[in-house]
Amino acid sequence: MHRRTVTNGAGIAAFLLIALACGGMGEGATQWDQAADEIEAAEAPPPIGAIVEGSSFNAALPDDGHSGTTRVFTQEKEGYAEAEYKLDGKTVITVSVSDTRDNPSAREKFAGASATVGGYPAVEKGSNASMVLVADRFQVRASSSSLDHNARLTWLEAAHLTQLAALQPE
Amino acid sequence: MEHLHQTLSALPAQNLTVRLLKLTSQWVDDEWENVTDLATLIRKVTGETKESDLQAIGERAMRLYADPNEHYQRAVRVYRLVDDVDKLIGGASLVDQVAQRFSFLGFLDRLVPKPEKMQAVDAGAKLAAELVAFTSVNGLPGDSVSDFARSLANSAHEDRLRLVCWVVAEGVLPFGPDCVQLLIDRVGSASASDLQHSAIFGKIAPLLPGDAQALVVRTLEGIGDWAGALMKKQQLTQASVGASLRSILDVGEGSFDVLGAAIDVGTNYFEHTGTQSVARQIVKRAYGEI
Repeated sequence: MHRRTVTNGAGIAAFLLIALACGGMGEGATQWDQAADEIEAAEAPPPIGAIVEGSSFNAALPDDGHSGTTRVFTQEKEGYAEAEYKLDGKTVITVSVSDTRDNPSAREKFAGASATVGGYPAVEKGSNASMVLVADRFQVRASSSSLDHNARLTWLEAAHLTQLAALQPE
Repeated sequence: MEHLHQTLSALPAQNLTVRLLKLTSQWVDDEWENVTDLATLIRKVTGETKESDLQAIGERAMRLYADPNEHYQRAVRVYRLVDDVDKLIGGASLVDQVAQRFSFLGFLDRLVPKPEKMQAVDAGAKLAAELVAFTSVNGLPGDSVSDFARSLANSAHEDRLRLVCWVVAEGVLPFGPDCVQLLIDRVGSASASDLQHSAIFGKIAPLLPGDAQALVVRTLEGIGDWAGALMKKQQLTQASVGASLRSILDVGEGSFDVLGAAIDVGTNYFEHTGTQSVARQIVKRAYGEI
């Protein structure tokens, strides 16, 4: 058994209290507990059907062969599709499309975006990801540990954003 | 309910299964790290280090896992189903954390090798379980054998390790390097009674669309080229595989069959790596969505 890492002083104090109450090392507080409680308290999610199918997104991703890479589709679910682009067997970049109807808070980060791709707001997040929000609905994300933000934006430009915008259901 | 971080952290950090997987990684050309902590997995998958980003990704991943519409929990259940049936003795009592080599000498009389036909049907059913879990996680049609076969070439991390372990433990060890054709023949010619005797087939068949036996055979056919190339590249024979396995398992003078039985009852590599594979896919998706 090993201690969980917590991210702030209050968390550490809470963990110690719980650890003491449980008689020492054991199943103490984790950084995921609050989210777990919220998930259990929330209503059951509605059946899928209100979001765009992942298969519609595949055609919007950058083409196979872009920058000499081989495209491999890796996920395709309701509201999400993803492909990896490989050079010599190694993944150079992963590009995904997600329908933010399933996760509206994802749109918040685009407020005040200073860059655009194809006229749509684009931002950088963390050290490895760049993304664009198309038609205020579909987030296209390019993540790579080897390409910088500008290179990733170029990849976003290679996605078929106008085609994607047309998928917006009425 | 069981949350994603709990599903992961329930996996042991060190046991015979982990030793088997580390041994198998020599044939995968990929260093495997046994990740059983969600935050660590997120760091590895995304390369991000900022705590608030990691937290956001983890929480999104938890929500995806908790949503039954997403079928991630279903995939984990399938992996657990497959490994649940094999355990005669019970994992915890067998694990010796300190020993380099796990001894079955006290249990040899309980390591009864399966009849060849049942061994073959079980192996085929396990592979079909991989197809079910793969399509659940990746969102492909449930009988998409060609997509599954294509994905093998691109598989990495725990997916690749699990499948190589399958080739080694369920293929080469009992049947030698011609194992895939042997499995195709045995499963294809299995009678209804043969199929009934396979507990794994019994659990997986209801999850397979259409004719389960035919789909198992097609799945075996689908991996033939990939498995053949692997066995050739790594020069896998019963002798070479057996010798490697004996470095972590002591079955005395026991034959390859007995070694195989020891792996069946003493390890749950499908469940262990399957759980990690599902978690990895969810984290990748959560990262793509936040």
